[in-house]
Amino acid sequence: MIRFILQRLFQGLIVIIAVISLTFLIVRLGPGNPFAKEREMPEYVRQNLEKLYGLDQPLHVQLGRNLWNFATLDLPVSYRLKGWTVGDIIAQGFPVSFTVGGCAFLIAIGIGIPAGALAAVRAGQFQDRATMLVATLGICVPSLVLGPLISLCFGLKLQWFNAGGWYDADDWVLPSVTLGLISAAAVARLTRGGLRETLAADHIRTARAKGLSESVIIMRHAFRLACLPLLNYLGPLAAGLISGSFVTETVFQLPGLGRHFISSALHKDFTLAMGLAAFFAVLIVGFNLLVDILQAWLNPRIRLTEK
Amino acid sequence: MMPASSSTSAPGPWRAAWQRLQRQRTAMIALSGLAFITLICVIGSLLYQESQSAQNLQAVMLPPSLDHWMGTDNLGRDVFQRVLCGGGVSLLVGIVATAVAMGIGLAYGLVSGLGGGRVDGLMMRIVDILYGFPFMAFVILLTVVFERSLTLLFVAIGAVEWLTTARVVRAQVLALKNLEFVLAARACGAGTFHILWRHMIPNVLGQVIIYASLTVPNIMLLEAVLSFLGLGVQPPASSWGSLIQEGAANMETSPWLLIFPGGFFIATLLTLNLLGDALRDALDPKSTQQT
Amino acid sequence: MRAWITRALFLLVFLGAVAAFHQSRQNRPQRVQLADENQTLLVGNGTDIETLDVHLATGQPEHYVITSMFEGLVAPDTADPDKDGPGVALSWESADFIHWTFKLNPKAAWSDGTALTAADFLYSWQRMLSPELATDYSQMLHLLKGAEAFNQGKTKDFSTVGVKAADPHTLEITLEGPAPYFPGMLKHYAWFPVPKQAIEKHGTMTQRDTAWARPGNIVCNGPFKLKEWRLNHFISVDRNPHYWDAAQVGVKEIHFFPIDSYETEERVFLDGQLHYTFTVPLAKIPLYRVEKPAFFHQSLELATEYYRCNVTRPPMDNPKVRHALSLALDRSALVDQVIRSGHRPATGLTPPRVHPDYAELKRLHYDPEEARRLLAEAGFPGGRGFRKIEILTNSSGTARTVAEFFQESWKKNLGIEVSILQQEWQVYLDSQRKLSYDIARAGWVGDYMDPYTFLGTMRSTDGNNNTGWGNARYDELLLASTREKDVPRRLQIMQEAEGVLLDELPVIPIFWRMNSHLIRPEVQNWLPSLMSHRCYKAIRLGPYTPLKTAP
Repeated sequence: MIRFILQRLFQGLIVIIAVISLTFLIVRLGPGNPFAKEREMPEYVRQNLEKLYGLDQPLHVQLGRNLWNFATLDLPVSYRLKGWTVGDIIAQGFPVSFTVGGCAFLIAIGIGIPAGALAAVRAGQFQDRATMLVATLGICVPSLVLGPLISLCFGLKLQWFNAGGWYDADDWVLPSVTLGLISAAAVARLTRGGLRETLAADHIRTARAKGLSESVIIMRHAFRLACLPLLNYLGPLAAGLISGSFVTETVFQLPGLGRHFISSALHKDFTLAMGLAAFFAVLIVGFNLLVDILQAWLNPRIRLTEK
Repeated sequence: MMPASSSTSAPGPWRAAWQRLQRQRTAMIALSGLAFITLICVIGSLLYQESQSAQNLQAVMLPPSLDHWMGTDNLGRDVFQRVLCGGGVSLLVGIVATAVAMGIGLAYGLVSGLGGGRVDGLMMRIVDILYGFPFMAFVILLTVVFERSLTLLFVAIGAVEWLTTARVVRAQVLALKNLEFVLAARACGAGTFHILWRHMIPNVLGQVIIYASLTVPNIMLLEAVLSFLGLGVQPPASSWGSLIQEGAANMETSPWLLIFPGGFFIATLLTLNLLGDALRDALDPKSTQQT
Repeated sequence: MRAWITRALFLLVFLGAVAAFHQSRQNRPQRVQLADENQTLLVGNGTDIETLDVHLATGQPEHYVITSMFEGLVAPDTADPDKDGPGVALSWESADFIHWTFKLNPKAAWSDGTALTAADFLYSWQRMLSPELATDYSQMLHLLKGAEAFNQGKTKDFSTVGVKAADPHTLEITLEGPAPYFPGMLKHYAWFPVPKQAIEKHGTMTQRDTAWARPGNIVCNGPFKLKEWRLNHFISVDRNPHYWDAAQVGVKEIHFFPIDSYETEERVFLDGQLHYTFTVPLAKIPLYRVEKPAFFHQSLELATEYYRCNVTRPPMDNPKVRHALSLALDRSALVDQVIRSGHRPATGLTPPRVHPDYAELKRLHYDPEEARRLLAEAGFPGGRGFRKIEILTNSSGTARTVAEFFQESWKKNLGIEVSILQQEWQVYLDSQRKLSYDIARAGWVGDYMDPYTFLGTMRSTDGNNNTGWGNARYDELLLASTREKDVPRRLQIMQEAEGVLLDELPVIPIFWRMNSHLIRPEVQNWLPSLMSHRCYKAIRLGPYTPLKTAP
C-alpha cells in the first residue's frame, strides 16, 4: 500500500512539472505580449521591461528559472497584479472557491445519491422515470443559463438571498446550489447505474435468498460496491468544484480562483496562469489518490489486482 | 452500422441490440427527436447559410411572429435561421470532436490491450498521469492564446476526452483476448490485423458508441462555456453556445433570444443522453435478464 | 386514506415553513441602507484593478480608485469636475503657457503625517521618467522640457528636465512649448506625487513589483486612504485625516467593487448593494431610456470609437477606398437602431466639447451612391477585384455587433466581402502594433481638454498611430500648434490638421461615446464629467431612499 501511494505521488510530481512547463510554453509561444496596453509604449520601454522580467533570455532558461522558483516555493509575482505573488492570490481566492465548491459537493452527493438510489430500487416505476428525467434534464442545462435564472429568481424577485456578492454565509447558498444541482444530476445517474448492476449480482441474490430485508441489503451490501464507479467520478468532481468555476463566479460576483485563472490567461499573465494550473493539478492528483485509497479500502480485491 | 454488415462473425449481437432498442419507447422517441433536430439543422444550414446574417434594421429585437417564427435579434436577423445554422455548427463541433476523441481512445486502447505486458503497463501509466491534468484549464488556455478556429477546438477537446475511452477499450480487449473465438482464430493462423479488424473492433465498438453518445453532450456544453468567455465561433457564424450567451444577456428584455436556442440545445442534449442510456441497456449483453 | 392525510399535513408544514422563511428574508435591510447609515459609498468599478502604484497603473478602474487616494497639483473642481480646482497647489500662473509657477499648499501632507513639498514632485517625476521603471504613461510627461531625453536614457542628469523647486512650496516648470491645457493635464495620475518614504522602505526608487502599494504599506495624499484590498472582491478607502481639505470630505468610506459582468452589476444594483454602477448592460439601456427611472443617468464622454485602416496594405492604401468604406456606413442607424445606448454618430475624429471654441468638423456622412462611385473610381466597380479583407476586433459583445454591422453594410453597399477576426485583448493590441491587420477597431479616450489629445495620436511618429499613415503637412501643422501661443490661432491650426486627416481618412471615426450609469437617489453632488473625473470629497450621501420600481 505504501509503495502504491509513493508511486502515485511520484506520478503526481511528473504531472505538476509537465503542467507548469506546458502552461508556460502555450502562453509564451502564443501571439500577444503581456505588456501590450491600449496606449502604445516606446520600444525602449518595452525592451527595458523584457530585460527586467528576463523575457529576453532563451526559452529554456526562462522555463528552468520558473520551475526552480516553483520547486523552491519562491512563488513568482503576477505580471498583471503587480506586487502580489501567486501565493498571495491563491491564499485569497482558494478559501472562497473551497467554500462554494465544498458546499456544492455536499449538495451534489446529498441530493444525487439518495435520488439515484431511489431510482435504482424502484427501477422501471414512476419514481425512477421521473427522477431520471429530471436528472438528465439537469445535466443538460448550462450553468450560464441556470446561474442568472437562480440569481434573478431567488435574489432579485423573492429577495431570499443577495443576488450576488460575497459578504457572509448567506451568500454561499445560491452559487453552491447552482453548481451543486448540475453535479447532483450526474451523481444521481451514476448511483442508479452502479446500484442496479450490483443489485443483480450474485451475492446480493444470495443475501435476498437468506431473507435479509431489502433496506439492509441495499445499505450494507449493494451500496458499498455501487460506490466504486461513483468514487471514480466524485474524485475529479470534488477537485473541479473546489478549484472554482468561472461562470458561477462571474454570475454571482465571487472572488474565487476561476476568475483569476481566466483573466490570467486573457492577459497573458503567465506566472499566475502557471501557478494556478499547477495548483489545479495538485488538487486533481490529491483527490485521485484519495479515491484510490478509498477504493482499496472498500474493495480488497483491487489491492490484489494492483500488484 | 458499417461494421455490423462487414463483420460476418458478429451479426447476431448487433441485430439483437437493435431489436432491444426498438422495444424501448423512450429510446425511440429520443432517436426520432434527435434525427428530426439534426435533419432540420442540416437543411437549415444549407438553406440559410447566406441569409442568416442578413440584417434588417427596420426589424430589430422583434418578438416571435408569423414573419419571424422565433423573433429577431439586435441586428434584425432572423433567430429561426440563426438557431438552425448555429445548430449545424454545434452538432458538427460535438460530433467531430467526439470522433477525434473516440478515434484516439480506440487506437490507444487497442494497442495497449493487444500489446500487453510492459507496453500495456507503460501506456496505462501515461493515461494515469494524464488524468491528473487540469484539462479544462488547458482547453481554455489554448483557445485564449491561439487564434480561434473550429479545428483547434476539435483538437483541444479531442485531446481531453479520449482518456476514458482508452481505458474502457483496453479493458474490453483484455477480456476478449483470451476468449475462445479469438484463440481459435489465432490458432487458425489469422494475423493480428485480421483479429483486430474482424473480432476486436466490432466487439468494443458497442462500448465506444455508448460512451460517444454521452461525450457529444459534454462537448456541446464545453462549447457553450467557451462562448460565454467570448471564445466561441467567429462572427457572423453562430453556434447554440454563442446564441445562448447572447440570449442570457437579454433574458429579461427579449426572452425569445434565450428560449429558442436554449430549448433546442437542451432538447438535443436530452435526447443524446436518453439515447446513450438506452444504448447502454440494449448493447449490454447482461441486460437481457433485466426489464 | 391515512397516508394521504400525512402527506397533506407534511405539505402544509412545508409550505408554512417556506412562507415564514420568505417573510423573514424579505424584510432584511438592504446593504445600501446599512451603508447609508455608516456614510459609506458603494461603487461598481469594472474589472479588478492591477495595481495602486500610481506610476505603473494604466486603466480606467485604476483611475477611479487612485484619484480617491492621491491628488495632483491640480484637482477636479468641486462645482465642475472638468474645471481645474486647487489640489496640492493652491494657485498657479503662467505668462506664456511655457513657464509655469505652482504655489504649493503649506498644509499639504502625506497620510502618515509628513509634509508634502516640491521635492516630492521632483522625486515622483524622476521616478515616472526613469527608463529602468519602464512606465506605460511616461510619454505624458514628455511635455516637460528635456523629459523625453531623460526618459530615453540619453542623460542620467534629472536636473536637465524642466522642473525646479524654488523653495519647498514653489514649483517652477518649463515646458517644451506653450500648452494652455497644462493644468487640466495635471489631473491625470501620471503626474501625481508618490511617497518616497514608503517606496524606499520596500525597495529602490525604480524597482517594479515591490510591496509598497499594498495594504498596510501604502502612503497617500488624497481625501481617502487605503483601508482594505481583497483581490477580485473589493477595495475600501476611509478618510485621510491629514488631507489638507479634510473638512470638505463628505462620506466616511468608499468601497469599490470589481464587477466584470455588466449584467451581474445591474442585478446587484437593483438588489440594493451599490450606489453607483460602472455602466449599464447594453441590452437594458433602451428600456431605461424609454421608461427613464430617476436613477438612470447618461453623460457624454471625451472618447471616440473608430476603425483603423492599415494603409501599408492594398487596397486600403488608396484614400478613395477608405472614403468609400466610410461613406457606406450608416452611423446613425448603427447608433440609434443597433447599439441603442445613446452614442453620437461621429462626424470627425475629435469629439464635441473638447474645447469650447473648437467647432466639430461635420465631414463624415452616409452616402452609398457616392461610396460606390468612389470605389469604382479606385478601380473596383461594384466591388469586383476587391480582395477579401478582415476586420480585427477584441472579443467584447459590442465590438462584435459593430463589426457584424459593418460586414453587412460593406457587403450590401459596396459588394465587398469582409470577414471578422476576434482576438483576445493582449493579442489584439499586439496585432495592431505590428500592423498585421487590414482594418481594426480602436477607441481613444482624451487625456486632457484639448483637441491635441486626439489629433496627436495620428502624427507619423506617434506610437499610437498604428496605421502606417504619415502626412508631412499634418505633422507640420500639429508641430506648429505646439509652438503657437495665441489660443484661437492654435485651434485654427489644429482644425486645419483635422481637415487633412479627414481628407485622407487613415482612421474611420464611428461614434462618440456616451456613458450610462445607475445612481441611487441618495447620492448627491456626483457630477457628470467628460473626462471621467470625480470629485470624491464633494459627494454626499442623503438618507436612505428605496428605488422606484425598476423597468
